Amino acid sequence: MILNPAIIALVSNAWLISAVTLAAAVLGLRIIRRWDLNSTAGLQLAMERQTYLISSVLTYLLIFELLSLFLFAFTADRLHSLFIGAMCAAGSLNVNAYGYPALQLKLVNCLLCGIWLIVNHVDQQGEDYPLIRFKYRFLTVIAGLLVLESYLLTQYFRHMRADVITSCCGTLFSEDTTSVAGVMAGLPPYPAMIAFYASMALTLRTGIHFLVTGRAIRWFSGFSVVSLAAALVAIISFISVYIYQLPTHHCPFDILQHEYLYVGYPLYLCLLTAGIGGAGAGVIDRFRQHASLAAVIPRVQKKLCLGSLVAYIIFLMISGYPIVFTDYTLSGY
Amino acid sequence: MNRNRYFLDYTLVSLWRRRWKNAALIGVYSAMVFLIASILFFGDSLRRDAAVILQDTPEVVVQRMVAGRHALIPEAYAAAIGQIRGARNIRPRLWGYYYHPASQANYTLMVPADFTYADDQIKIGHGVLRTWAAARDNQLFFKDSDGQALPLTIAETFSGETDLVTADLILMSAATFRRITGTPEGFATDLVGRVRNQQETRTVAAKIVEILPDSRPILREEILRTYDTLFDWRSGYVLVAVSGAMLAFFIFAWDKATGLSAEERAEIGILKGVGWDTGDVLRIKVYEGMAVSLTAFVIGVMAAYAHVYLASAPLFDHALKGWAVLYPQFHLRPVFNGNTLGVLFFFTVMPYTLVTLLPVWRVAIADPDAVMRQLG
Amino acid sequence: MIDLQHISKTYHQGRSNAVAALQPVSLKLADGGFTVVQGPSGSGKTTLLSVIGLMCRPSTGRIYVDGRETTSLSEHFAAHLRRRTFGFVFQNHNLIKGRTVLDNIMIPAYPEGEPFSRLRQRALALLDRLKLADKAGRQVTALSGGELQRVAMARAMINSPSVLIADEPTAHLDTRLADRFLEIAADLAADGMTVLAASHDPRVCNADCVGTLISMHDGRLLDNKQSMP
Repeated sequence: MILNPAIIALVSNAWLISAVTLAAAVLGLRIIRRWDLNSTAGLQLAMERQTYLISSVLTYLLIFELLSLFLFAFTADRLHSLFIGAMCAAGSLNVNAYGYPALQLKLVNCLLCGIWLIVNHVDQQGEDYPLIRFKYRFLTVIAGLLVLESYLLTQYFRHMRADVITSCCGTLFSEDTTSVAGVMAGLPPYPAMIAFYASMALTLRTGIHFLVTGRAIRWFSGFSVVSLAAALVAIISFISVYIYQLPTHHCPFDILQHEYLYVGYPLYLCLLTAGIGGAGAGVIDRFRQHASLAAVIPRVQKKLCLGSLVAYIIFLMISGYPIVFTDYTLSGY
Repeated sequence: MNRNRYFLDYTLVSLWRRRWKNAALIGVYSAMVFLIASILFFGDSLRRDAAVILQDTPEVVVQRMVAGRHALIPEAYAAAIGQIRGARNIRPRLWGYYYHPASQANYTLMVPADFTYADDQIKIGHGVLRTWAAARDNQLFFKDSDGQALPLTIAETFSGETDLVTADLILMSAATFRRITGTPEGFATDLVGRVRNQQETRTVAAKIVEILPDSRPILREEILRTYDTLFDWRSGYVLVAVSGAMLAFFIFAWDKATGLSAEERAEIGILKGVGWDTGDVLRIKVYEGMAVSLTAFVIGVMAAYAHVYLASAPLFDHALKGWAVLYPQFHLRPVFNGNTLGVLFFFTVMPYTLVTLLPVWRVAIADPDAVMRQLG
Repeated sequence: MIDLQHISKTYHQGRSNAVAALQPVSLKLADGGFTVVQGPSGSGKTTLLSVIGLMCRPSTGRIYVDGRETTSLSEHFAAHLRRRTFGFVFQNHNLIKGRTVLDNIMIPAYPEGEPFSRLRQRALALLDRLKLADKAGRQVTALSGGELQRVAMARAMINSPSVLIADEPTAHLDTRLADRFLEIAADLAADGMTVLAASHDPRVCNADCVGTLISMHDGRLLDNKQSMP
């Protein structure tokens, strides 16, 4: 275990968040079982009031999850110097089996929190809490995943063994160390490029189709999730290479550093926004038939779709800039 | 948009109206932020300083081990290592420590590669000048390895800016060094070298061990890593040590958020009565918390910045610098990064927000009809 | 039109300190007119007004406001409907201290989020109508009893509700000011607003402008006396 302020912050807050969400989920379970809008009993009133608390908690949660996602990536990046052979976060995440799963789960949890908030928003637009049970079943899943995430995060940091020498009696240079780096590299750039631009094109096409005709939202939603995955692969496979202008540098984390003008932050934020918006629009589509939501859902979907499209377009522009406007090419690669 | 403007406006008026009560909260909150921010900033700049210092040091240092201890290394080893592909500029280095009984301090002796002064002249750091008990006529009296007195003249002192590194440093010629420390000719303290390709330091090190089994190569990256861990560990340790204070603060915040005055409760009752819902009340309360957090955060961070970088962290340099009786005077260079602010946020604003949410919610769910039932 | 069907209200239901404030009550309130609920204190007047004004949910029964069932609305929508439909004047005014008269009047409209200039204009017009135009910037603590009541009325009307609910509006007023209140209330009723007041003040119950008088005792309705204006 390495005792470092960022690690203490990440681990303690992961557990704090888990505990709060778990408490919310317990309240949610009671809501799932006992909810009855026609009841005038005190319990029903108490549960209705708890929904306000839970909404607020989840709103904060999304903000904290987003911040901690970036903090985690940043911290992993900074820790790379502790591990022989690690050149950036890609390496330090690889020092044990928990690093990447923790990061990936964090990303998933961010998406889920965002989608939950969209569902919650829609639910609040209906006069009779139409999605209340779905919402709280969803919440219990999120709570479970958050606990898992905290566990992975803790295990990741606990099993970190830095190859340390002390200032006076240094250890011998150690030959047997975890082989690292480069693992994330090596995806052939051209297929990744084609997949990325094709999924983006389909997303934009179906999105515009939905905005114009009000149809095909599920297609749009599906493609936007695919685009999110394709974009993450694309960052590793070729976008980062263009940004660094180094054919061998594939790190998706260095773009968060100031050497690269923190360009990673807008890129990832755009992706998350677009992914959450697109996925959320699809998730709420199944509730279109609810009487109290018939007017609400298309309106919300339109906003989500528009937001998602704008975010993807910004992503395309930022990531396309170095590809179009620099002399660097992938030729001979 | 308008709604939020109205609520924000309402919040700010409320805060201003209860400014003294809020000032107390913000005061304690800022102190908390200040404390933690100071620790983090301090650790950051020590780490940065170490990195800056080590930037110019050679990539590899080779020591000789005898009986598991660091021993003098034959200068001939340098030639052997020079044969390894990729290793460059291998040269012997002479350095050591000198204990001066009168000042009860250990000084670092070193022979630079390009020492331009005469054998009886030295170049010293400010710390030496300050602490050496009897400096007369620009002369310092040493004892050589045979116990003979050896006066050396101060030719130059280091500029104050690099105080952290040079405070206890005494530079001298190789001949003088050997005389004081008793290091025999043909031997050096260790060997240093550069490696042509940064990626190959490890390979080079492996080869060194292969040719010279009694040698121990130490890589710069390893030293850097050790410093990193050391400073991280120290600031982490201090953070754990102040966690009691943090806990006390969050209990205080909880208490503040729970113990609303009758007037505030009545006000919230009225708002619910005239048509605000729980969400609206929750919102103004959340804005209130955010305004308090933001103010405290900014005040705390600015105070910590001043404390660490303008005043050189007088409150806890001993806790964090630790080894330094000799290094009381140096200025930390400002390091400011988003990561640190993020960590700080996670230590202060986030727990505060979560801790105060429950009491705030309890207040916000006041019955709208309570206002009808209260008798004036 | 407000239609109450078998409404009852028990506070602290299911506990040892349960209080049945309202026995099952059915009542229809037509649009417009000045209705007064009378009865001794503790007879359930205030509870009836709270239930009608969607401030609390009844323990049993249903309420329809303009044909819309309201008892199973979520709090958010109930609050929304309440703001649009009802204006409240509380017994002891309940203005928020430390804020100006104008702020106090505008507060119920904040959750609606309309542009500030329009809201302010409406608030000033109300102050003008209630002859308080010169008091807009004053702190509420600097007002007299009669002025406070008129500010409370202006606040009740800021969202242009169709029903004004007043609980013991004349409790703290002398005869001249009580008459002034009745004058304004009659004026509003004449404009088509439904005015519903609870009072045990004979000055109110016996006033000429009162259209309907409802008597309550121990949480029950006694009889409805219709008086022709």
